[in-house]
Amino acid sequence: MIAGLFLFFFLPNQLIQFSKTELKVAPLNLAKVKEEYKIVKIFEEAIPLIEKRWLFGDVEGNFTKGNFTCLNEIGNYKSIDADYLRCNPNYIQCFFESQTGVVPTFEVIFEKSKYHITAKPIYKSPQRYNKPNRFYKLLKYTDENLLELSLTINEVPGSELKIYLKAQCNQTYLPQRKYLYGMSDYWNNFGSHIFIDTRLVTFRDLTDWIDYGDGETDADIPSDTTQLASFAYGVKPDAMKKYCAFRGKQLLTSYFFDAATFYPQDLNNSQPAEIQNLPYPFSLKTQDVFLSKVQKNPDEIITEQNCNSIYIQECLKVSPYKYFFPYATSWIEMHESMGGPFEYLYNPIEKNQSIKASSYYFNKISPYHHLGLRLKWDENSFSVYNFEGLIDTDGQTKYKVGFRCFQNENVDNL
Amino acid sequence: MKMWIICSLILSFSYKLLAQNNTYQELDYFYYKLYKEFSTTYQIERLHGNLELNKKIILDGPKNTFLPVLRLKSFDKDFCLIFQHEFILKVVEIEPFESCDGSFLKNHTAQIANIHQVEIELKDFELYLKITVGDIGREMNFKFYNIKKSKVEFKRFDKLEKRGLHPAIYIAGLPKKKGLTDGTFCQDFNENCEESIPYTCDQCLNGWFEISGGKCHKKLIKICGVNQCGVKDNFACPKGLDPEGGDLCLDPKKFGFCDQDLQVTCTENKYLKCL
Repeated sequence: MIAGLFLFFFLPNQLIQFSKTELKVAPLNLAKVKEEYKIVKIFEEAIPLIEKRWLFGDVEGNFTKGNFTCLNEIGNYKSIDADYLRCNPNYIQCFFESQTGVVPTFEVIFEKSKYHITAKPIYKSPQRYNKPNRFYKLLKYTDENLLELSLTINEVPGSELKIYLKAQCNQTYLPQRKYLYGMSDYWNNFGSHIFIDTRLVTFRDLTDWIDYGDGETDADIPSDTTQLASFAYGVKPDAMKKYCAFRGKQLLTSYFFDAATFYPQDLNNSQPAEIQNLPYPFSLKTQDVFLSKVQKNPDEIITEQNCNSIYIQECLKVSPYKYFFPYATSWIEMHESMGGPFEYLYNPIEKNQSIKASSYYFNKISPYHHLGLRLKWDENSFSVYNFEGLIDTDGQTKYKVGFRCFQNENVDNL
Repeated sequence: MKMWIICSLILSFSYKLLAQNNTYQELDYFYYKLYKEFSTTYQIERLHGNLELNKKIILDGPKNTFLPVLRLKSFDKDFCLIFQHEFILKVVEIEPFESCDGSFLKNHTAQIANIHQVEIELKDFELYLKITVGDIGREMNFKFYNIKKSKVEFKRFDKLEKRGLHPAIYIAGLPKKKGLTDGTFCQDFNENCEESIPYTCDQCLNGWFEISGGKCHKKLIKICGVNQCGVKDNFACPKGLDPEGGDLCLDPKKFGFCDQDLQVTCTENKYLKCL
């Protein structure tokens, strides 16, 4: 008895109280909360795999190998670079429809058991697709667009987790430094965090705006899915601004474009006393750029390699223009800084000088293949008569004018 | 007599085992229950004075006082983590407009009574707890998938790094946003360059842009809407900040771009406009 009493008193007092109070409730719900915990943990294991699929797309290279059957969403790999599949909702649809050459589930192991996570096709399909349901819906979440998916664990009936994917591909940061506009207008972006789209807006991008943001444009949206990967053209500046606003962004301004394309003389000095803007985006050595050589020697032949660098008029006969190919990549990794189609820029300083001149509308000896040079456009239509400085023999060409957006972001000080 | 002593011993031993088992169960319940609840947290407020980021501390305080330690904001509810020295650690659910200060009387979502010690470390995207009850200690790690931050890295040229456990994914739900209309000032500053309108530009319906001027010339003001800078009667496009913090009204052209046919003008409120 003494020993019993001793042991009884030896027990920590709080433990006794604790056991008295908690005996009543804890065992009742433990199994339930443990099961809920297990489901959360299984979903969590799949999150990095889903994020990788979203951000990097076709990591297996099935698209370029031709092991891809998703023509109704993506189109033909011969005309499109595989980068197009990154942060692309249509690729996500293809993936869960088992059309990308990989198993459409994410396999994870939790407590030595295998589980398979997949998405449910529960979202109403926009009219353009000949299917009743889709695996995603696009949300306009004030300043960002998010792709909502509803995940489930195949081995746990009734399990569900909604996730929201943020498009973090195809943007590049404009470093904070002093820049030059024109000949003498210095400006800086110290204290501003500016992200510029690395690519021109595509027709596919416009379909998001039309289907989920009530967007309206005069542009003809192609029915051929391969053509959806094309930069969007036929869009008027007002619609461009509205599209960018739908994404929580702004239409790219001319002086940001210049900052993103002129190669800085001294990368380590963000406040140089003087800045000289050079004609080409790649380096300080202008003589190395093929355009510099052909302008000295017009007989020089334009090769496919040249076209992969800057896609000018002669390239149309050398190799087909490929959508999403990283042509003319600038120092901050913004593509199509020269060549390719026309690009509209919001120019608040010289109102009508809004079209990036260097493009595939000009041949190898054209003086327009020079950064910072722009054409005037009346913004009414897309024929030769609407642009200043163009010569067109038949007057029938509809000039293709692309555009891109940029976004400011606030930065937390960590 | 011997039998009685043996029975007492067995009984006491069993009772201790049972109590220990219950402690384990209670700690498990606390962890499993909160793991799910905390997983959707998108913002955390530190309420305990000694709690710093990335620093492990043992919670302390007067014995008879409930101390709020953390407020965890989820997309549809908020939680307060409340501590009373050598007595209790509890988590209560509150409405977004309520304070954690008076919330200790509310029903708990989970709690541990008769605690001996609580060790805590808050990281950017994780929370570590070690709760000791009697001689039983239990470590717990909570992950916050919905907290996202950004940081400027100064490498070859500065680069903004998005951070989070998985920066491109939110889980379970999204916090409600007001949806600020075009023209709303979503960040402004006073004469001392302190925020007079705290940053809410993530709630702008159609993006936002920056302008020069106002009361602080070392910061740019942020406004919701589509940028129309440089156009007649609109704001001038900012040419950036003067590292020396000069008065932009003395030389407006130095601080703003306008269409070449217009004048950069400083208004009464010291905004730069194109007239």
